[in-house]
Amino acid sequence: MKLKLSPQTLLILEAFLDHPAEWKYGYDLSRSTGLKSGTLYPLLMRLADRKLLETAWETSDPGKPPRHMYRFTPEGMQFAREKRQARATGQVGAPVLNEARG
Amino acid sequence: MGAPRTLAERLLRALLRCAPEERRAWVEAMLRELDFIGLDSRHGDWAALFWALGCTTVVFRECLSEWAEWLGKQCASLFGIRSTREESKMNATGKKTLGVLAGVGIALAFGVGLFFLRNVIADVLLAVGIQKSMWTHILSVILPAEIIVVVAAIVLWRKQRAPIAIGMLLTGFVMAAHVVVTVATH
Repeated sequence: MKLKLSPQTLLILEAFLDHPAEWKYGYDLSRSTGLKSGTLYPLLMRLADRKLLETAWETSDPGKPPRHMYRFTPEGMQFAREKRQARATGQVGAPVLNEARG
Repeated sequence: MGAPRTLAERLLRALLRCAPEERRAWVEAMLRELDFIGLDSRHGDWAALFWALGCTTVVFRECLSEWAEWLGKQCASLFGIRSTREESKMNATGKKTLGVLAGVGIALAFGVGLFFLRNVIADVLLAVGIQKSMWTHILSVILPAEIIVVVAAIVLWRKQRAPIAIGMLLTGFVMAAHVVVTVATH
């Protein structure tokens, strides 16, 4: 299965790469990347489907509803770093850049 | 809680009920985020509503793709053709070949369309005082068509649709060769 690396996907990957070990929330990601919910969630779903992101429900205080959180899996982190490196070395546009096998 | 935020919450709760089973956790996640949207903003309630509307489009798209997949399966079983899932298992070479053929098909369809329009174009030229000749035909129909095909191929190439671009270029090249041969023999 292929993952198209649109500019929006790259934005999300970059946002996760800033603090890769940290869990991130949907709304915070939306604010940091400037993506609307209608764009953000399909991308998060695809990344999670391809096991590049792991998801969890925040264990919060009783009475407070839990929140969905996201962070890179080891494969996701490796994938994002490879893509960042590929872009840095000017390989943008190469077909392999736009594909991730899940 | 303002009216827009209330509406947003109701919308997402309704979506939660009708969302596909495997996406229900995601809709729940979208709903949970509502509590944190725009808390520091004067227009927070409206931001929450826009958030919910965006989420609605996501769920509808997911539903649509599920229905399309179901419809595809039904059609496949009805006509005895391979399902989309099986199609996706085609190897890379097969997909590239399919892409090239699609490019050829698109360029041919475009060429056929222009072929039927050539008389209209000739009439328009005649109306502005340009007589019909081989060169006016080449300059008004074939050359623009070739340019369009090449530009479309470049755009597709940049969008990682190289096989389709190759198919279109191939057809464009054959068309151009045909024109060159025709002009040479005249």
